[in-house]
Amino acid sequence: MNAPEVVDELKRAREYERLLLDAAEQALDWDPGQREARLAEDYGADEATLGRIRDLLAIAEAGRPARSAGPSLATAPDADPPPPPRIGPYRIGEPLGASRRGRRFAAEYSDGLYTRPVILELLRSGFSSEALEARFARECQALANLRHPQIARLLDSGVTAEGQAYLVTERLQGPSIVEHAAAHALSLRDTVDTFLGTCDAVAHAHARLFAHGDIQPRNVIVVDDQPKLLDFGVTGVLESTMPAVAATALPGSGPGPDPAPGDGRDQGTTSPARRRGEPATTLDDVYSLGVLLQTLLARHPDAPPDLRAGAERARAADPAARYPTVAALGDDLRRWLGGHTVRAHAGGWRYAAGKAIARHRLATGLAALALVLLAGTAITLAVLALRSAEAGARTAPGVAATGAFPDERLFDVLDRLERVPRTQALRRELAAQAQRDLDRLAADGDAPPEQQLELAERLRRLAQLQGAPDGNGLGDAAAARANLARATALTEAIADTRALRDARALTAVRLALLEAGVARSASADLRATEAALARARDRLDTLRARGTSTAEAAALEREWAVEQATLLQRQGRYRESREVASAALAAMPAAPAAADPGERLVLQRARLLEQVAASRLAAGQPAESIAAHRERLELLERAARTHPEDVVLGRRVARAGAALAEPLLALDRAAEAEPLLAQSRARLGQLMLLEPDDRTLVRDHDSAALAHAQALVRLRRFREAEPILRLSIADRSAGLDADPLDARQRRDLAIARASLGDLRAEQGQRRDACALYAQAASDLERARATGKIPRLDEDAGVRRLRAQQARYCAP
Amino acid sequence: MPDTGPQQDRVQLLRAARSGDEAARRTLLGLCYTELRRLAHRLLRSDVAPHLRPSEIVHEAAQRVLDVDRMEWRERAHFLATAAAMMRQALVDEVRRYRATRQATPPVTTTMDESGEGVAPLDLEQFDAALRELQAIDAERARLVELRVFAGLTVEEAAEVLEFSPVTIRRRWDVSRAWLLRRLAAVP
Repeated sequence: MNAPEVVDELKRAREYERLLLDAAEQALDWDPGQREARLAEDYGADEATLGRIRDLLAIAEAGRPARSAGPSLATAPDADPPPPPRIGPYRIGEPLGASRRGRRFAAEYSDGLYTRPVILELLRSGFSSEALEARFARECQALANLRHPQIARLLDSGVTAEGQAYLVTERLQGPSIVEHAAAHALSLRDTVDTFLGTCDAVAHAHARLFAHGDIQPRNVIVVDDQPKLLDFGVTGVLESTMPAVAATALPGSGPGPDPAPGDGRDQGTTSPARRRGEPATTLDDVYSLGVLLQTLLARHPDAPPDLRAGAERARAADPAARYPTVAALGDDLRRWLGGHTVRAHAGGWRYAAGKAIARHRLATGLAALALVLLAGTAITLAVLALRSAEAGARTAPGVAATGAFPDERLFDVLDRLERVPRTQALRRELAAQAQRDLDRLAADGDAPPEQQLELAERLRRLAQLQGAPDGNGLGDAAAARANLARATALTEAIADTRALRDARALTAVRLALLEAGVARSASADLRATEAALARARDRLDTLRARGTSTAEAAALEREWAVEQATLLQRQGRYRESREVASAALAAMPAAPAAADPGERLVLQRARLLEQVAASRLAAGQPAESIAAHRERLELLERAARTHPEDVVLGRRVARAGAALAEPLLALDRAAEAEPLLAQSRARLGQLMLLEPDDRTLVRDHDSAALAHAQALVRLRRFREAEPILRLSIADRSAGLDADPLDARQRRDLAIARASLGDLRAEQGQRRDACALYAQAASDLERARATGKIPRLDEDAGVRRLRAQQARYCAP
Repeated sequence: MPDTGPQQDRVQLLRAARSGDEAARRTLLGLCYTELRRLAHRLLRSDVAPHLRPSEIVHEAAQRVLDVDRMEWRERAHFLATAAAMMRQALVDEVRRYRATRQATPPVTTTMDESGEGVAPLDLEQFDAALRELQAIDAERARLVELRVFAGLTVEEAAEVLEFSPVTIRRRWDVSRAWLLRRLAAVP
C-alpha cells in the first residue's frame, strides 16, 4: 500500500466507526421490542456490523440509570394577573407602573378608624423556600428601622396566603428633584444644597449597611423643598430570587406615569456593575448620585469646573476612581458651598497619584497595583502618604513641635488597607515607616503632655495593625507588645490634669484592651489577658465614677465585654461568659451613634453573639446556640453584601457560617449544615487565593472543608465527600511531613481518616474502612501524646472511633 | 502594567469575563489550570490510593477560582465547557509528570460512570488516548465526553451547551461511553 492508500484506509475505518456510533444511537431511540427486527432489516446481511452495534447497545443500556425527570427548566413568565382588590387592611387602587422589583399601586390603608394613602408594591418574585421568606421578613424588619426624614419609610410588608409578597411604603407626592429645580429655577447654590440633602440621606442608610441600588431622578422627589428618597429596597434578598430580572428589567416598563421630559429615567443613572446585574453596593449609589448631579448641573452652564469634576469623579466608570463613599462626595460639595476647592479637581488627582506610583518603587507596589482596580484610592493614597511622610521626615524636627504629626494620613490609609486583599506586604512597609516616625518622636522627651498622649495613641494604633487579634493584622505580636508597653509607660507618666484626665483614661483603656487581645490571640496567655482586662475594667469604673459617659466610653465598654466574654469562654467559664455577652447585647444601641462607624457596632454585636452561641453549645444547649449563631451570620452577611470588597468581613462571614454548621451537625441536621459549609469553604478558598500566605485562612479553610465532608457523609453524598476527604488527608500528611509535632494537624488528619473510614464503611468496604480507622486511632494516640489537644475533643473522638471499630472491625 | 497572571484580582476578572472580555476569560482559565494541577499534584503524591474522579477535582478547582456554585446554572455550564479541554490537559499533564518521576507506573484511574459502580476503573492516560481516537472519528461525540468527564457537566447542562435536546444528548452519551469502554476493553 502506498501513502494515499493508507490514508484512505484510515478514513474508511473512521467512517465505519462513525457509522456504528450513529446506528447505535438511532437504535437506542427505537422501541426495544422492535429494535432487533429493524436492525436486521438494515444490517442483516452484515453479521459483523450487526454484532458490533448490538454490543454497543448492550453496554449503553447497561450504563443507563433509571429515567428521571431531570431538572425542570425555567418556565416562561406569565402575563401579570390583575391584583387582588384588597390585601389585609390595604385597598388596592390605580396602578402606578412597574419597578425593578414589581408592580406598584396606589393603595389606601384603612382599618375602619383611620385611612391613610400608601403605595403597595406587589413583588415579582416568589420565595422558593421558607428560609428565603424568613430572610425577606427580617430584611423588611431591618429596613423598617431605617428612619430618616429624607427617606420614604417602609410601613409594612408581608406575604399573602397565595404566596404573593408585598411591600407598603409611605405615599409621598412631589416632582422629581430635576423637575423641581427647573420649575423653581433654583440657583446653582440651592440646587447643590438640595442635592446635598439627598446625599446625607443616602449616607445615613449606608452607615446602617443599606445600599439603595436604584437611585434615579424619579426616586428622588421634592416635598416642601426637602428631597425625599423613595424605593429604598430590600434589593439584596429580592435579587437573589430573581437574577434575570435584575439584569434585564432596568428601564421602567409597563404602564405608569410617563417620565417628564428631562427626567432622565433611563439606564444612565445605573452603574455599570448594576447593569450587569450585580448586587447593589454603596459604590453604585455613588455612581447614580454622580449622574444625578450632572443632570442637575446641566441647567447651569456657568457651573465651575471643580464642581463638574466632582460629579465626574462620582460617576467614574471605574469604581476605584469614584469617591469611596457618598459622605466623601457630600464633603466635597460642602467644601464647595463653603468656598473651598473641591478635592476631586485639586490639580488632577488621578494624574498626580499615577505619577507618584510610577516614581515610587515599592518592592511590592507592582503586585499591589493589580488591586488598584479594586481599591485604587486606598493604595494611591498610601503611596502619597508615604511620600508625604518622607517629606515630613526631611523637614523634621520642627514638625513634631508644631503638633502636626507627619504620619496622620499614613494611619488612615493603613486602616483602610486592612480591608483590602493582598496588601500585607504594602502594609508591612507602611507600618515600618510609621514605626520609624514614632521612634523619632518618642525620643523627644520634653514634648507637652497633649503630644505625649497623642504619641501613645499613635503607638497603640500601630500596635493594633501589627498584632490585630482575630483580624487581618500583620502577625507581628512582639512588635505590638513592645509598642503597647511604651505607650502604657508614656500614658502613665503624664500628669493627671483636669484637661487631660478623661482622654488619658480612655487611652489607658484602649491600651489595656488591645494588650488583652494580643495576649489572647497571639500567645494564648490567658493570665496576661485576664490581668490586662482587669486593668481596663478598673479604668472604665473610674471613668464611670466620674460621670463621664460619652459614645466612645460606651463603645469601649462594649469592647471590654467582647474581650471579657471571650476570655471567660477560653477559661471554660461558659455561664459567666454568656452573662457578660448577653448583658452587653441588651445594652447595645439599635443604631450607631453619629460619630461611630456602623461597622464597629456590627462587628461587636457579631462577636458578642459568637460568645453567647459558644457558651450555649458548651452548656449542651445546641438549639439556643443555633439561634445566636444564625443571628450573627445574618448580621455579617448583610454587612458583607453592602461591602463586598471588605476581606475582613468576608472572612468573618465564612467563619460564622462554619460556626453555625457545627451545632447543626451535632443535632444531626446535616441537610441544613451542608450548604452553609459549602459556601464557607468556597468563600475561604477564594480568600486563600487572594492571601496565599495567610496561615489562619488555610487553617479555617481546612476545618470548613473537613466539616463539609462530614456533613456530606451524613447525607450519604459520598461521591462529593470523598475528594474533599482525600485532599484533606493529602494536605495534613504534607503538613506533618514539614512539622511532625503539629498536634492540631495530627488530630485533623485522624478526623479526616476516620471520616473517610465512615464513608468506606457505609459503602460496604469494610477492609478499607478498618485500615483507615486503625490509622486514625494511631494518629489520635500520637496527637494525645503531645498533650496539646483539649480533653473534651479527644475523648469524644476516641469514643466514636472505638464504637465504629467495634461495629465494623470485630474479628 | 501587565495584568495577566494570578496576581490579577479575581472579582474584577470574573466581572470582565462575564461581560465578554476574552483576555479576562483566558486569565481565569489559566488560574483554573494552575489550581487544578496543584490539587491533582497534592492528591497524587499523598498516601491516598490514586483513584481520581476528574469531574470532582475539576469542580473543586473551579469552585475555588470561580465560585461556580453561585453562578446561574447556564452560565456555569458554559464556563465549565470552555474549560473542559484545558482541564483534561491539566490532569493528563499532571499524571504524566507524576509517572515520569516514579520507577513503576502506579494506577491512576478514573471511571466514566455516574454512579461509580459496576464499571472497572480506567487508566487515565489510556482513557485520554482512546478519547483522542474518538475525536478523530467524531469530534462532537468526543467533545460531549470531555464535557461530561472532565468538566463534570450533567446531561442537561451538556445539552444546553451543545444545543441539542437532553434526550438526544443522553443517547449520544450512552453510545459514546459504550464505544470508549469497548475500545479500552473495560467491559467483559
